[in-house]
Amino acid sequence: MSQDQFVPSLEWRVQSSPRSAWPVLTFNAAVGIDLGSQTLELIPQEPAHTDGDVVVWLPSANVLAMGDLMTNGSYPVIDESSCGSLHGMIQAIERPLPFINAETAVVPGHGPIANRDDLVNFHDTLRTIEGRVQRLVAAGSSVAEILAAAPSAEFDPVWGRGYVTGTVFVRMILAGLGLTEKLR
Amino acid sequence: MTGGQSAVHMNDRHSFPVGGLVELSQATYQGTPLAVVEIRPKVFSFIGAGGTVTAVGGSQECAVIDTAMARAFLKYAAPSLGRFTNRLAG
Repeated sequence: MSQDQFVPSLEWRVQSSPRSAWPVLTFNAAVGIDLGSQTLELIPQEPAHTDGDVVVWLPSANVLAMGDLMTNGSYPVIDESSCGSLHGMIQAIERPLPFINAETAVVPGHGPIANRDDLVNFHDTLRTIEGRVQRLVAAGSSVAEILAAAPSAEFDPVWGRGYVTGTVFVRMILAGLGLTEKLR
Repeated sequence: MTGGQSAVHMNDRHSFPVGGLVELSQATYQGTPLAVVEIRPKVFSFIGAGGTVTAVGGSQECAVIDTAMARAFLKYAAPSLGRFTNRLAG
């Protein structure tokens, strides 16, 4: 927020925020906020969607707010300009799974309220696509060859209906691996 | 587009190509109706343009969990939140 940002794959420039908009509290370990009858646990993540991701856990309400680490019904945006990566996303999704259950309300950054099964399904989808992309990269495939292989194809009818299509998502994954190409 | 350069949208803080993904996402968001869901007593999610904002009411304080810029929340979600303030507080 303190510096101008440029996302090469989107050709998107965002100016820094005014100082009055900067955070007054920053943290690099879990922090609790007592609201009286509710406690929020703010759990910072390693770079995933961006380099500033936080999961918020409300234990007494059994609510998990994932922010843009989960999108329900669409592929997520991975901002490679701030160290985002698909692998980081997958790890960030795995961390809260041990302490939530079938009754947990999972709040995604976009889309309807979800549950643990939805989060696991989202994770498994990303993990499958990651594995396919990794194999193609390891085999020496070019960006064009990887896109032509359509590693997300079977999931696109469900997850790629929005503006982040399967092709766009794979390009974002590749950008996160340093294989940048315009997302047009 | 001319000469190999993209036409660019600019506003006070952003610039992005005409017809690009950012413009497409904004068009999508603008067509998203705002839905308010009480997912738990005194825990409300505002699902709409630009993403989801969650408001949590405790016995002493309230908190707002935003996924992006507070300015966007103030513009789009805060007017609706006001209708629920009496149910969040106390």
